[in-house]
Amino acid sequence: MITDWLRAPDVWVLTPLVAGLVCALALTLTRRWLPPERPLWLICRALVICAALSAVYGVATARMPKSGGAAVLVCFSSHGSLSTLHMVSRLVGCGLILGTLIPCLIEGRSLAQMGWRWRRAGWYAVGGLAAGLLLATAAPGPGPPPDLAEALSLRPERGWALVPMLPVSFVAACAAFGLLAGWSEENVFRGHLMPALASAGLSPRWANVLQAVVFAFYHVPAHAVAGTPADYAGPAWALVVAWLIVFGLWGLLFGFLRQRTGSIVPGFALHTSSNAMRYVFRHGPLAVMVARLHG
Amino acid sequence: MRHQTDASRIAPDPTRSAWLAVALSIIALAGGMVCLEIIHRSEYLGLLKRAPAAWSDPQVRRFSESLSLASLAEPKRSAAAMRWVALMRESGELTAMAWWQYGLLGAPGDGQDVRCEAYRNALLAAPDTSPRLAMFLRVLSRELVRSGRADEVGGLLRATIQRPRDTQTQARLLAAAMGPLTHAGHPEEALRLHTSTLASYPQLAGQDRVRLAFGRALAAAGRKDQAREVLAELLHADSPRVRERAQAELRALRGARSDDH
Repeated sequence: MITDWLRAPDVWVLTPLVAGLVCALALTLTRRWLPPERPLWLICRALVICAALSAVYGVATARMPKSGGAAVLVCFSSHGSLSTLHMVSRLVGCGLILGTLIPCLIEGRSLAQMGWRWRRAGWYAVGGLAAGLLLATAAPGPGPPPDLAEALSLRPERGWALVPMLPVSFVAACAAFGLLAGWSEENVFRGHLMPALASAGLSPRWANVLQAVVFAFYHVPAHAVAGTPADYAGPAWALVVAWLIVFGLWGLLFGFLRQRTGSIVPGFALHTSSNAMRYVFRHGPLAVMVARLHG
Repeated sequence: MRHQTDASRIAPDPTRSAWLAVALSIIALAGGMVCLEIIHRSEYLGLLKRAPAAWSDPQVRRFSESLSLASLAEPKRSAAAMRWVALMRESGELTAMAWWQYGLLGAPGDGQDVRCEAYRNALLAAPDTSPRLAMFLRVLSRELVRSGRADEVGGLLRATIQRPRDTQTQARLLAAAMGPLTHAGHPEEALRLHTSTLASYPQLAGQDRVRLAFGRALAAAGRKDQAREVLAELLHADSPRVRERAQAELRALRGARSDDH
């Protein structure tokens, strides 16, 4: 009986855990021959972690229905416990195993070395959250999927009924993205890869540029799997270039914040809030509310 | 720079900690496997309790096949399929909503054919009195047009428009079928649909929604003077929504005219 679900399609929700385990095992077994104390091997091993994170991100994007997440945050969950397990699996696989256990316990980097310094952390967090809010307000995205708005069957004058859901959805999105994007990606790219590049003798500027390049490529599989936006008619390569530029610039900004302040907290706060805000604006109750109020 | 130097330092060989990380990963994976097993068992048992007859139902079988899952003899299903199959036993409206939501949220990787099938089932399952008939028809027409099957929309409308008794719902249905055709660059097809439907249902000619859809199709087909005439009459329509939309269309037409100049 226990092997029944191994043949079932739902087993993909365990991908982050499997990726975390395989990565941890591979890096542990190769520790003697490819020691992270040598800068070159340290960089290669960091790239393996990035590749594992990227693969998990791609699989999760391919397997999750496009509006599923929106449904969860708006008013109902169509995928129930499986969706919850998927979220927990990503939090543990990406946030805990790939983003914390591997850099700290296997690669030997402490949280303080990764940039988790608490001096002025409160100010950095507030600044990052405010900047994320401003960015999301400036570019709120295309709004909710039309069918989802239809699903709610709200009349325009009843759009305000969704206001009480805003803080809940924002806190939920911050918690989820804080661990998924903020914690795991910041730890791996700015906390581990960037110092690894610096230890190979690269100047801080070049270390930042290279980690931003890797950060940009990290996003490509997931976005390629998600497909082109419905209103996009140009060639696919132009879209990939656009993704690389956008995510590369984000990576540069996060790396710059890390180097400038010596702390990973500002990048973490900005990363979390920009992701969470974009989600709330594009898929959450605010998107539906705005869409309904403006017809 | 100081931070960089600090950060680049790596602790001496922590082999024991590395194995600890592996052990914790194994525990996490084992926990995930147990959770998945529990979810599958509880969903399956819950379904059997709620709807014991569901598995022999041909509609359920078709539904399961459309989810690309294994044969019905095996109790391995996605949680989503379980939930919808259980919902299907409830009522016509709920069944229709379940199909519609399946088309909307879908199983990952589903193609347009599966979505069309789900929307078609939603339309079939909806009671004749359902206020959502037009919505189901619109999403299905849109999917058909997107997948290059615009010619099927006419037949679909003819089959559906006979079902409701009231003129208003019939008008909504005609407008719902014309909309996707107009927006997806088939305005002539929409106009043909309009003409053929009005031949059988002349009472729809005076309905504001139908006239609005007609005006839009005329505008999209490039017959702008005629479109302006039809839309201008709608500026005095009873429904404020229709008035607003007619006004917006007229504004767009005026914009297009100034662009031409």
